[in-house]
Amino acid sequence: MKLRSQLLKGILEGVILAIIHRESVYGYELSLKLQHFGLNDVSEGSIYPILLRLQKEKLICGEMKDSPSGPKRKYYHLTEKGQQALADFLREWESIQGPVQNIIRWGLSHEYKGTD
Amino acid sequence: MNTKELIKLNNQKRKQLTKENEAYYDDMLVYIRTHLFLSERQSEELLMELLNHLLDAQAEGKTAKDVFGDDPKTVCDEMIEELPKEQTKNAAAFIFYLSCKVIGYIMIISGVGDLIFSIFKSKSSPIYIGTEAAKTILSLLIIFAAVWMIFLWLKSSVYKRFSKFKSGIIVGSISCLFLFDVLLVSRLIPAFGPEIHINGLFCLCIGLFIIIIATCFNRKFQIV
Repeated sequence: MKLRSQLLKGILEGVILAIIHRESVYGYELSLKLQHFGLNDVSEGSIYPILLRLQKEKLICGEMKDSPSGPKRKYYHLTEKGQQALADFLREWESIQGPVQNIIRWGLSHEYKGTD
Repeated sequence: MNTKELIKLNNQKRKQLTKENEAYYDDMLVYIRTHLFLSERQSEELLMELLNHLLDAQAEGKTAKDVFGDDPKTVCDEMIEELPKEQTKNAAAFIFYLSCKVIGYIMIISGVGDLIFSIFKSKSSPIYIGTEAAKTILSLLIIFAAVWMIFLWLKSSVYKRFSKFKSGIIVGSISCLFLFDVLLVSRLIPAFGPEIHINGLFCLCIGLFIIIIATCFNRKFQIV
């Protein structure tokens, strides 16, 4: 369970960096984006600890700005260090994603062969 | 926008929450604000962000529980862990400001008391500078300890209801601290240091002067 949530946290950090890389967003927009892409299981509130950590590590930077709908919002944008972290994440993700998929496919096909 | 304005805006905006969402949000707010070592600025920015998020979600028919889940304490603890600590400089300014205010008010009160007494008594009793300094420092420490305890109590009572008995113990020990300060401290500290006579009016003026200086200091640096 612990490892699972750690893994999810790392992945969430990566995708949040990717979203902020494309456009600067505020918290609510960010949670809508995650849901839009199908990450419905992530509770909206759980993005805030991650946003705080990314700020602490100076990967993103928040700025209070007027939003189109009226009130001032804290918009996040990527810092240079954040760009670097995103590139690192991509490399790590790609080195894991392919092998994991292959292993699962191989493992399951073996299982199906066995039960057939 | 400074921190004070942010808090004011938060107070206004919070009124737009439904009763259920407000109860949920208020708990988060008290829990985060009672963590005294956190940067006030960063905490308030976060609280405003959470409030805006909640208002947006509410407009779409979602509740605070939908947004932050069933376990707000864990979410808050995770955020608190990531929030930066208050800078020592700001914390020191805050403690200095409060100390000045406390000393100022004590001097005003004792000045007025002395003036009233002097109607009945012709000769004022002497003051020992060493004793007074020790008394003041001890009283300040006791006041800060009591405030600290009250905050600890508030903080831990947000997500855990205390029994009447436990609350009684906490209130009791805070009261004991104050009683100890008022009744015993002046008797326990022996007279030492140079002896001076000051009249009530002088004491009152000094007290007022300290309060005015502290207020200006606060205006300039926006401490409270």
